[in-house]
Amino acid sequence: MDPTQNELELNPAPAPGPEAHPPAEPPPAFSRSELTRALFLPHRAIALILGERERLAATVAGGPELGLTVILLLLAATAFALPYGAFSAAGGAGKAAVLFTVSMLICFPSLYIFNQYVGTGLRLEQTLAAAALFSAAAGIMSFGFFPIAWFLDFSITDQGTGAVSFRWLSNFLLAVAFGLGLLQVGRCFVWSGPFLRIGPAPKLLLLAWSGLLGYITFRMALVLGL
Amino acid sequence: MARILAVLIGCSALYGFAMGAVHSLDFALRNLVKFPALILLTSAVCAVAYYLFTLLISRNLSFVEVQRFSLRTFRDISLLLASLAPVGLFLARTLRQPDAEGLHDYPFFLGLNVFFIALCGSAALVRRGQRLLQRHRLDRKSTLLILAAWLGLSLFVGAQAAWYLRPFAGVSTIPAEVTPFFLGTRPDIRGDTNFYQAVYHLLQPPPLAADYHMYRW
Repeated sequence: MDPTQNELELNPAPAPGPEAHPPAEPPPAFSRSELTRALFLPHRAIALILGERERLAATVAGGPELGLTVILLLLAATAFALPYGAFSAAGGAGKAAVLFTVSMLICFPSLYIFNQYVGTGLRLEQTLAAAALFSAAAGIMSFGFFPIAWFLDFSITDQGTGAVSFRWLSNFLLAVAFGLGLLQVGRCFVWSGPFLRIGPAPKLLLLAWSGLLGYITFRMALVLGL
Repeated sequence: MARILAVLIGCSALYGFAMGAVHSLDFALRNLVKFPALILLTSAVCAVAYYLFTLLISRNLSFVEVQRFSLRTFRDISLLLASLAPVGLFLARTLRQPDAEGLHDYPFFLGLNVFFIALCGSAALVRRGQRLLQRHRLDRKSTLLILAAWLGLSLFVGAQAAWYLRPFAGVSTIPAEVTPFFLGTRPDIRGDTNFYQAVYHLLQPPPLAADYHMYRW
């Protein structure tokens, strides 16, 4: 006799009442075809990174295409941040991309080593994916802000001289993009998804790392002359 | 989409005409272009950001749906404002105009227009929010978050767009002939060249220049 059948017979499931719901299916991880398509179609990449956070978390937690996911996130972080500087006087096309991606890469070793030290069991690629999600989400949000930055640049002339200059407003928009990038990391890896079961230590670690990342990003902005 | 745009442009032009009539026919005619331009510029500049903020909150709306939805909201605002255009026009032509003795009813007229715009904006947002709840299977919290994000973005960009395209009403003591179509980045009486700086200086007023009463565009 099939053992599962036996178990079912020994422990009959209670009859579903009017309020019983079937257990929710865990969200599926991204497939290779979905990720490959997102590499070539920017709108698909945006949808996967911002709109499918449960599936992204499932992919990072145990999906087979983690490497491709990391590549997609790093590529998105770089590509989507380019227009922000290119279409405004924010100081060169690559500066927003450098701001978000290089700052993350500088801080990434600390996140990985401390994670291992605390004993979360997250692998290198998983930690990199979590960190790269910050850069990707922040880069995508800066992409959303680039028409606004262009308009402000166009309509404000006294750059850097007035009390509220274009430079000040541009940095404000980049700070909002930074905050939303961190928020997306939190929504994927702290407040929902398969990472909910991990204890409070990694979450506190991520919080502390966010502070470090914020400070390094601020210093990077100074270095880049933003 | 073309019909939404046509109603939006027609209605906002009508309201702009009524607002400009407080100064002269010249200003009223200019606003036929400037007021729709203000709304279209704001919605175009914010379009990508509207979508990305929506995607952060819910994936139930596509890019096209978000744009259609934001245009419908602006159309509703324009339609509601157009219904108040006769009131605005009547007041514009009957209120006591600024002269050498003072501004008289002019500040009230400006305040009333701000109130009208806030009222119509709030009504359109509430109505469109209800549609979001019904049609796109969004919960109340997500709907509120999306509308708050859109409102914040629209105010952030729309305020500077209005500053750039000013004046919409003008002061009757400064003739239309010497007033450019829009003032753009020209400094105001306090030397401010953008909206955000003007707000900052409302909170932290700088000393006025000695000849501030001689100010012209």
